[in-house]
Amino acid sequence: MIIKWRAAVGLMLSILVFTSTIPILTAVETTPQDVFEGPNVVVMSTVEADKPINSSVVSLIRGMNYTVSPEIFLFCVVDGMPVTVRGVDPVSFLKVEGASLLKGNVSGNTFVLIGSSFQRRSGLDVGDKIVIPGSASPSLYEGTITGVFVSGGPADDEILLPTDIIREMAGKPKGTYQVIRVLDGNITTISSALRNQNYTVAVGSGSHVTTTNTNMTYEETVAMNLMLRYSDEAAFKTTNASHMGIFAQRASSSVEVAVLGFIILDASLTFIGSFSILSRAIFDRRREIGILRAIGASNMKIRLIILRESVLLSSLSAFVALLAGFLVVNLVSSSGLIVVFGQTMRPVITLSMFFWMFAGMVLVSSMSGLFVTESIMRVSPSRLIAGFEVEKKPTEKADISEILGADI
Amino acid sequence: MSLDTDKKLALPSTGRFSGRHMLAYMLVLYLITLLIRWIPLFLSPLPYNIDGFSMAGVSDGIISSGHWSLNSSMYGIAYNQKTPFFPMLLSEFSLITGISPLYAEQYMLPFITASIPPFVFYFVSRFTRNITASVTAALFLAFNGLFSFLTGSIMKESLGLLLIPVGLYLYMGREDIRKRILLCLVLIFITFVHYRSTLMLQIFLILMLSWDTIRLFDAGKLRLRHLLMDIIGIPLIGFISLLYYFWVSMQDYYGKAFNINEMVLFLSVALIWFLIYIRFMKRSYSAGGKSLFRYIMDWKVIALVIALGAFLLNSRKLVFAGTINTSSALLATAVPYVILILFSLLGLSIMQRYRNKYLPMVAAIYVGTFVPITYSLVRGLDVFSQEILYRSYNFMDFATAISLGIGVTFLYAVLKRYFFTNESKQSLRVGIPAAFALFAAVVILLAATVPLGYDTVELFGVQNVTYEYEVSAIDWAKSANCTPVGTDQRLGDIMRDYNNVSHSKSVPWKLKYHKPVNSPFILLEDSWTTWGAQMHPSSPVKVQKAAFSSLINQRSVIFSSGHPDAPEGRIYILMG
Repeated sequence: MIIKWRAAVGLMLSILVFTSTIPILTAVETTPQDVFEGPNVVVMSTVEADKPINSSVVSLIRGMNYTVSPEIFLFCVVDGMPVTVRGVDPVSFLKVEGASLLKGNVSGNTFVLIGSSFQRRSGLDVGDKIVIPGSASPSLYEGTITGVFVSGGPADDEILLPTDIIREMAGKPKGTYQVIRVLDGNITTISSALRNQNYTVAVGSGSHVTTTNTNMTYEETVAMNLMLRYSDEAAFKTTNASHMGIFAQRASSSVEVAVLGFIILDASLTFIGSFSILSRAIFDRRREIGILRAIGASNMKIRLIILRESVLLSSLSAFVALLAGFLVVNLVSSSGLIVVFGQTMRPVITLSMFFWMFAGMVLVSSMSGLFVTESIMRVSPSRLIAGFEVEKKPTEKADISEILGADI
Repeated sequence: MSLDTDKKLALPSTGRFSGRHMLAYMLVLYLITLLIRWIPLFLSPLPYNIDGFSMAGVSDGIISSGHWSLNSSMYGIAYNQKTPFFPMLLSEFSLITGISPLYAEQYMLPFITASIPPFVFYFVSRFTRNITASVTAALFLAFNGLFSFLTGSIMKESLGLLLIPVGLYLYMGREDIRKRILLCLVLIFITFVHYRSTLMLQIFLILMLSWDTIRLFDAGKLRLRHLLMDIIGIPLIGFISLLYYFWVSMQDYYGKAFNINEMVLFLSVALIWFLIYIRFMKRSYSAGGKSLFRYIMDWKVIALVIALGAFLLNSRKLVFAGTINTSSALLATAVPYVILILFSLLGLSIMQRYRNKYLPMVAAIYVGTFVPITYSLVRGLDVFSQEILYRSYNFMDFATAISLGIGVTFLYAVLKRYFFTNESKQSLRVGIPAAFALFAAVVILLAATVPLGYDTVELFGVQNVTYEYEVSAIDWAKSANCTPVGTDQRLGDIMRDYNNVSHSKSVPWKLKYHKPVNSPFILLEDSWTTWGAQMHPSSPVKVQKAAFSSLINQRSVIFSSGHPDAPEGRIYILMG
């Protein structure tokens, strides 16, 4: 081996930074969707501000024998921690989320349920008092925690309250909801039923969103709401329901762009790190390369040797770094240490992510090795054997007018 | 092409250009710039961009009351009263010429701002003593569409962009006490011209001052008296400017930026860029042995790649929520601009590798402009951030112009060295066409950027031209006491800033999506069905012809003007 094995350690550490952050960054990007949707769930929301979804839509979908959870959100700070508070019908919600009660019970209309992750973070338990401030209107709710639930999803970071209380705190009209979630819903059947009954609603699952009884797409609604927000303040203030669309649009767009920015920054740092380590490792072996060339090894032969060793080292480093990175991320996140927007981050790790990160790292490292080799090849074997150093930069610069010429 | 040693490229000083030549160059540059800035007058005598209406409103107020006041309840008027220099100047001009401010300003402002390229020509020639670099730098500012738009439109920033190179020039000559005093006056004066220009000039000067202080300290030549004079004459005046903005409650309009959290974020970003600037200035480079490719493709190119990446990303996905995607027309028009930036990167690399006096200034302008740009990106990707970004970007143009001048001159020097020194026929046969091709390419590229300033409808989805019949309609609506009026964003803002007519700007959305339009009066144009109604910062809203006609048929048309051949078609006021 021309390149020393210890370079693999440096390479691995450099790649580890990348592999241990990408699953978390990806999780940050998918969190808003996970909070509002969930697996096997169809979500309905308001399209037009003057036609908010209400209890009659809930009755219609329930009549189709679906498990339906009508909900209202409140984003606030409890005990100094950002938390999502959801107004729900607890039985339907627990069914839709596939959740169960760990402690306590649900009784009457004054329940306060907290998710298991929130319980761990806050140290609160059944019987403790909790004070929840309103985020959209000046209000305060004080109650006693009646139960702790676990769902294995983002809801574990939330607090559940009766819908009527949250509706008042969110300043929503009576009988209205922000979203209605349907377990195992068929988007076509639901859209068709809503269309037949003349309801104007956005129905979505994943990236597929359709609207009923309106010529506006969901994106156009969001754009219109934003336009009203910025150009017609008075009209905007009269449309309470448009806040949710704006929040979702601004949050998801900003989060996606910011996450992309961090991924690029992360990749750049890893690239620079890997390049520096390999170039140092190869440069340290310039004498050996000089000897090989002096005894007759062709440039192509040297290139092939370096390429083979770079691929070997980077493959090994990338594989170990990927495994270690994913393991570290899983350990850290399972302990609930990474919390963003009041949500515990659940790292996204997929086989395709593993493959592309592995391939990318091997490619970048190998190319870096070849790039450095090309620079060394320009130096004669005798100078390489003598262990040449990079020439010191001149301290005194020539005046620019000597180069450009001066005619004034 | 490899450039080996300094000596190989060294060119002698010829002193071929005298003071008269210089004056002639400056005059020609002034006239070229003036003609380009007057292009909007071929379309309408009214101000090019709607900011001009609130300026004219402030000037009208000064003329009618005879004094400057700070008490208007109208949004645009109250905001522009706080930086009153331009409206005052406009009032004087209007009183002297007898032309109303609204019609005078599009003639007057270019007269002033057309002096920027000649001044930059003088500025660059003083430091480089090279005619090619000076002319190229000035031509960039004369032709560059984005800069033309800023200095040809009616906005306070136009005057700020004139004062910035003046301030930088005075700073570089501040050993002369007269220039130091003039610099202080410029810094006080610019406070009343434009707040963002004040901020940017302060950032540039503070960066340069910091570098000078570090350099002199390292060399053991730092004089406490000079340092105190610098601190009193630059950042202290900046602090007083800030106090003035607090006093006139500029934070009512820029409350977000005056918030303490935002200030801490801004200062943190500024500190990071300050450290980058010092690192940039301390780094030394060897001059020879580099190919042209390596001169351009060093680490600085990363900034260009990131900018282009963001630009392309915005064509597919909105980077700033609620704004407009980068249009394919803008992507195509930006190509010559990007090529010119590559020339500038070459020029900047040359400046880093050879001794010169202006690198600290050029670097300060580049780095200083990145402060608000970075701040806008980290504070949140909303409309306000987008405004900070695109309004800050063009302060970089001064540095780009100088770097471009150096880059082009360097290429010309290379050609001269290789083809013109022995004056053999064979060399000249290649050299003359090559030099001609170089300058022709630069001029063509510069000219190709002009549409960036004047094809704003196609490129940015913004109609900056206001026609006389549109203003007549708004004036008529006010005189007939039509209130409130529903319309689009452009006409709504003119009504708000100049006519003080109560209005709503959501009519195009309501028409497009068949919502009831409740305004008792509606001001609308035929162009809503063709190009669309302007809804800046969002994209234009195109209304269906059927919905448009139906609204006209349902209501009484109480005013109509324009003609079918006019670019905006007819304008209507509806009642009922």
